[in-house]
Amino acid sequence: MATVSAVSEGSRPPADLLRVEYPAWRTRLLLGLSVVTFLSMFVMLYMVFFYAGTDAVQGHAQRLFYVHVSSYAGGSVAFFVTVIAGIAYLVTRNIKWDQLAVSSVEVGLPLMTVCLVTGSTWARPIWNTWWTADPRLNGMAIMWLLYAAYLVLRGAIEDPDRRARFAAIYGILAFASVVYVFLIPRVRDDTLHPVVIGPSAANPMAEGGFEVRTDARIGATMGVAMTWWCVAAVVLLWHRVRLENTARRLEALKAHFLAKQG
Amino acid sequence: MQTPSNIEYMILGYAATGIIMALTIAYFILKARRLRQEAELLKRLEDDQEG
Repeated sequence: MATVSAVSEGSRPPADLLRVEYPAWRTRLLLGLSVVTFLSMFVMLYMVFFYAGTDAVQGHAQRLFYVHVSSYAGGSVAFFVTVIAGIAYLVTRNIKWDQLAVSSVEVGLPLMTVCLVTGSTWARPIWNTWWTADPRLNGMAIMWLLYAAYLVLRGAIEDPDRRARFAAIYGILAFASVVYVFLIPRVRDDTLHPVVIGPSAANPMAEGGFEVRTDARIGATMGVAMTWWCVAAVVLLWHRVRLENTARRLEALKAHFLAKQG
Repeated sequence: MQTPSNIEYMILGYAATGIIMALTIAYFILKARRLRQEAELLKRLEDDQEG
């Protein structure tokens, strides 16, 4: 972590006050990964729109599944990081783990929003409704609200240690909703939601599944999309963590400035 | 069986995805900009005191 002494170096430009020193190779790696992720997005989109083919039963709406399933995977990765960071904070009491936890929620939540929105958009032509009272759909909505509440509740706690402790425990417990959403159509036979990847319960009610395991093109496209969204989540998280480091440095500079006043 | 024509839903879903991700990145950029502005203000206050 950078020191606060830079605040008295009057000749430095303002942006430099917030500069946190990182090893050069890490910055280069992040930059390279960001560029590769951006460019590979076009490969993924090409596969989704031109390589995978159009589903004979569902039509073009089926292509929404490539982003719907994959954004859930990316969001799950981010929320799993919240769990790891929460455990690490409770063990070490090092505030950097709290910074990682809040960063991962801020990355995971938009990805889960993408999952919710694309799922609803897919459901309209396939199920003839934007939303229905299905265990997985309701579970997904509850999960989204839980993580949105995480950010709201964090902001309501003034004391940094108490806030970090609360957030760590909350983040660990909230992950149960991610597991619930993943498992529910695999163990219950009364959900409308199909299982796209992996085994499912013998579910006569599920509507809108497709052959990801038997169609090589669909399988390859889904694999590329899953990988892309998970890598994109990591890249976003890395940038967000750096932003959080900068915010902490600004807080330290403010504290230093106020101390000089006192 | 005739393949259903529902391309508008696909476009809607991908457009919404683009907007959500663009807003997320814009939030990160705006947050970084706000931090820089606060640092600038801090430095100006410090310069005023020293001057």
